[in-house]
Amino acid sequence: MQINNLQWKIGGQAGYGIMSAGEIFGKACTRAGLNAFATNDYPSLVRGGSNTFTIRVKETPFSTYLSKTNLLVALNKETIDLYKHELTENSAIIYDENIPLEEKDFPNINLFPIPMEKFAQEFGYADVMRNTVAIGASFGLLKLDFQFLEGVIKDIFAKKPKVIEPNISAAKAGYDFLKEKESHYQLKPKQAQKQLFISGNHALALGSIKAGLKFAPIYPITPINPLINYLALKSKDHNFIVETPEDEISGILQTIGASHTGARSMVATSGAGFSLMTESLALAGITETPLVILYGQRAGPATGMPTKTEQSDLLFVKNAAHGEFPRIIIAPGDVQECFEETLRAFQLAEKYQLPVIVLTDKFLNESIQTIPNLTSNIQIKRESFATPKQDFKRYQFTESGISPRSIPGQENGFFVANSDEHDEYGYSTSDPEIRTKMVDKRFKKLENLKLPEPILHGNPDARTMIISWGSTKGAILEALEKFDNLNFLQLQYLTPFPDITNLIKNKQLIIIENNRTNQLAKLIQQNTLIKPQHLINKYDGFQFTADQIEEELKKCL
Amino acid sequence: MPIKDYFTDIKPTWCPGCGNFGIRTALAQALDELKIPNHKLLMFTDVGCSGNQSSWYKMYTFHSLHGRSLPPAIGSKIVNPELTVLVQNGDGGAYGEGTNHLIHAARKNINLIYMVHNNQRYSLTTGQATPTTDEGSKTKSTPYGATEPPINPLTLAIASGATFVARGFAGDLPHLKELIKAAIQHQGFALVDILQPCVVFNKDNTFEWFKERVYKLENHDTSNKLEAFKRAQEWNGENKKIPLGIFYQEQRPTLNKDKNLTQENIENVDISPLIEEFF
Ligand SMILES: Cc1ncc(C[n+]2csc(CCOP(=O)(O)OP(=O)(O)O)c2C)c(N)n1
Ligand code: SF4
Repeated sequence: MQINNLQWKIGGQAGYGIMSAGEIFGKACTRAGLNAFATNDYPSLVRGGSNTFTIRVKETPFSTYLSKTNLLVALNKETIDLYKHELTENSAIIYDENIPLEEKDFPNINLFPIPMEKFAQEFGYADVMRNTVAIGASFGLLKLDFQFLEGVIKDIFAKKPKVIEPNISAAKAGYDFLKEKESHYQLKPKQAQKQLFISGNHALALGSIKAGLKFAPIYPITPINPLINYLALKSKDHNFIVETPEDEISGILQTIGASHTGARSMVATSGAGFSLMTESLALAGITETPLVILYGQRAGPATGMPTKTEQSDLLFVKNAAHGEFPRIIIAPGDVQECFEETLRAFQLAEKYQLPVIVLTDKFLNESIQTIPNLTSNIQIKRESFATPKQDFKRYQFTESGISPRSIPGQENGFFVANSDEHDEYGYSTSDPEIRTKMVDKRFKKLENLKLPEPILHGNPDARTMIISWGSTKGAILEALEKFDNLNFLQLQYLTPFPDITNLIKNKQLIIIENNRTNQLAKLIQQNTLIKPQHLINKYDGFQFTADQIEEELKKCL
Repeated sequence: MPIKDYFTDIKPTWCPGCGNFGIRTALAQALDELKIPNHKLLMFTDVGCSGNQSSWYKMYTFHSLHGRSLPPAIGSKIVNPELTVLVQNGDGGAYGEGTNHLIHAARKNINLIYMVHNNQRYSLTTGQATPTTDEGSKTKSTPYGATEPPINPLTLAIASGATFVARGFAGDLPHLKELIKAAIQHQGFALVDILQPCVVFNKDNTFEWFKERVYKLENHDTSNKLEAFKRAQEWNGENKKIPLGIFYQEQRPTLNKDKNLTQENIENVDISPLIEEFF
């Protein structure tokens, strides 16, 4: 028997509530004192096609999934056809009794046909309650006390009290249907601190609210849609404004305008939208306007696979826009880091008066994870503002490169925020000497910038080192447990590039990236003149699983 | 205050005789008469001959990208409604590169004034044809005459939901000043399209050419949208006339919130009730 260690996958056609099923299952496990990690997969459709949510449950904290599944829940036949190859020995399929399956086609797999549609109909909402029956049946089979599921249903539907009872009844019917059945995989509650079950998108959103967000003009795009929707929902009570601009160009420029006027503002997008924003990025650069951009990558190029994940925009973000100006790029590796790095992004943008891009991807934005809480020591405070006297020099040449900033409405603080090169007042100039000094001033800000050191996970003396960035973190950490002579250098700050030469010289290097062209490896080589020995890539639209990384590492070692 | 107090000491680089000078004067006169203090004024310009004026005003100015003076202005006005936000753009940028912004600023009824310096040319780039160039006009980019019909900014703005739509002329400053004043006082999105002769690159639509044609709308009901549409379509037709004045005006709620969001204490935002929902 395997207790508190399994992977559950639910699939069905879009519109059947697969997305909320993942949330409910993971939240119930979290409330039972366990740790869950949930990742979704869906086509770019609203109805039809197959959606899945894959949830792994363990006792200890983690943030990745596996290529093998132990319990498959199928609301349609397609789910079984697509994922049966993932099933391990002793695994089980829970499926609607209307789907015809032959036992002989599934050796070593326990089949549990259940009356999903029938129960759902019986309790009133056939279309959207099959999933509830299925989750109930899952917990019945896995022997997790029904109270956890019941509590989650009550909370999730708190705003629609009418549907609470039918959902609980449907879940209970499913639960009772399978609770006597034997199962190799089981879940047992653990006494533990209350924990959160939260996605990257929500952590980013909460980070921005905590950082004092006042204005977010964001154009819809996967994978940041849940972030927009959440912010919009909370904007009234928390005193900020969410707008839908006519396009991303307007979105980023409205952000720049609001930030120029002194309100903490941000925009969020993915590659397609960011491509439209690049000219304006340069405008923030030359006007030294604080700018926070949350950038969730997805599989390109062009529309690519718009609901799939990839880490293929690092060099684009690093080099985007014409001309030379400083910027900061931060790549959080998990949900907690999404929160903390958003706070940091707002502080850095305001203090150094430049664009800060928080670079995530669909996998991190949309995956949901159990974490103890959202925490940070970063102090939120206003930075670099002036009390202007007569003759105010907004772009004063200073030792640090940071100039005092006035905001419109302040007396004596006039200046030109100028897309043209300008002098210390902001007035247009093409004087070669001033131009050179002004470019230097802008770049000087980076010289004094202090960012946290890269994080070295695992045995510090290991001879072989993995280097990676972003959402590969969880899978790498888990794979790392299987090897002694190996450690993992996680780079969160990619521009300006950290000084890692001493850390990585004399090591065998393995670079792991969810892209084809080894963008981080190129940056490492460019900045340290050290050529990594091994490159591990994946660009099929999915993030690495822990076991895939383990296999790839074995080939390198 | 004397209008020169709205200007910096930097000498404008516009060509002698350029229509932009008159617009600048009329604007300063309007501001003076409305007694808006300099530090409450925030002006956005785009890139072009008209855009270059950002360095020549004593007020907060923002020299944005070509065709994109409106979007940052919208952001500013939304977070600080206490500011008077003036937006100036060339016609090439306003009705070409930035048309989308015009349509949506009008639709959302953002409370600001959008002054378009309409010289029917991309002048800073040496006089190519813009979307407002008259059919048949020979320009640097249409050496054999422009073949496409021009866009009509006034009907476009009315159709998009603008709540104040007017046309002025850089050769009639008292009238232009009054239009600008009315536009600033209007609560909502105000487009003032300003006929601005470019003395270098537009030999068709000159001061003289306009002077022979412009007349002021009289006995025109500015609340009548259909009538406004009709009058806005008059452009050098059979009677060779071009109307000036306010074509359309209505009161409609603006997108703007009334709260200045820039001064709030953000140091201790409490997100614990939000986090609670994720337990
Ligand atoms: C994105 C972009 N495209 C093109 C240009 C080049 N450009 C600079 S000024 C200008 C023309 C401006 O024409 P208009 O907006 O009519 O203003 P005017 O110069 O006539 O006052 C152009 C096309 C630019 N700066 N940016
Ligand atoms: S080129 Fe035309 S629009 Fe530009 S400054 Fe000269 S006259 Fe004015």
